Amino acid sequence: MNPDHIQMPLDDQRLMQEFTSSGSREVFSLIYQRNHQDLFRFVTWLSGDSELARDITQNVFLKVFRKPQLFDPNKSLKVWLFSIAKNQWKNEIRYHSLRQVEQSAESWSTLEVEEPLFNAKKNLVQKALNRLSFDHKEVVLLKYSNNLTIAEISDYLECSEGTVKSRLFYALKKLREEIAQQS
Amino acid sequence: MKNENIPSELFDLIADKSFEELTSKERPMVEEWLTAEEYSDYRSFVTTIRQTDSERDYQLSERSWTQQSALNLNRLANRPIPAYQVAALVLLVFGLSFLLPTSSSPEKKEPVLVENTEGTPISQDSYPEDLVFNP
Repeated sequence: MNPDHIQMPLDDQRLMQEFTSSGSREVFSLIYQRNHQDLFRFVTWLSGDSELARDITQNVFLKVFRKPQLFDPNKSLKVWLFSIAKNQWKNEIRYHSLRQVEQSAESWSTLEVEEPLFNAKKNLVQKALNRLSFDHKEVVLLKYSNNLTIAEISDYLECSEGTVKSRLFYALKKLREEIAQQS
Repeated sequence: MKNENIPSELFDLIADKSFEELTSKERPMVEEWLTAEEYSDYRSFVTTIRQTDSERDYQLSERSWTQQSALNLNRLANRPIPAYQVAALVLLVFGLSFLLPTSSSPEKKEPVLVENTEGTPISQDSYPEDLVFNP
């Protein structure tokens, strides 16, 4: 299929269906182009390590390329990609934790914030974000870095929209408290 | 009031509008949940997150997927194997060597002498003429 013929009218779900049935690399390329930056951004914030985020992002797309049939066409592709990435990142954490126990001398500094931010305010916000619990950090990033709707986040977290709103509200409150403490 | 009942719109407004920009309809809804100061602080966090995103480069080149597979294999090969896993593997192999039957070893049986081995007598019954080819 010529990518020129499948521009905007096809949404991600339709593109995935097309790729599942045809295995076309061109269709896959479109899926990649449309989604990789959002995914890379999400994992970078989550892990604080752009190299690791790069690897995880590429691995997620490799999985999609190999097993597109696992995609549920009734769900959002972005939500599916984010879920795979989150699982991969958790596996990395488990692996690094194991290594940390076995090689106590080796610090796990690569997963700390590695990129110095450009000014104090950004640094302050990023540090405060890293002090939040995983659930709170995740929901803030999904909403404000990735612009997911409350409904999409609820789908991703597999909980009610009310729970998402409550969590997001509390996360913003905690973020404010953390920043107040730091400054 | 439960946080679960917050209108979703509130979270979008935080990202989209400053407190001063809120309309006369939006402001009372916001004030039901947040003070003006809280709203402005939250908006400031969101703006900072988005500003950071805009300054970072999230563009990745599209790797060849065969190349990515090779990278994964290399990564896997370079991972150090924890000592407990090696020990478990050795124990497993050692244990299996006792449990599994040693089918590959030759069976030790005494040779049996076969007696009374008679050949097939040459007769019309055993070798009918029609079936014997004589050049």
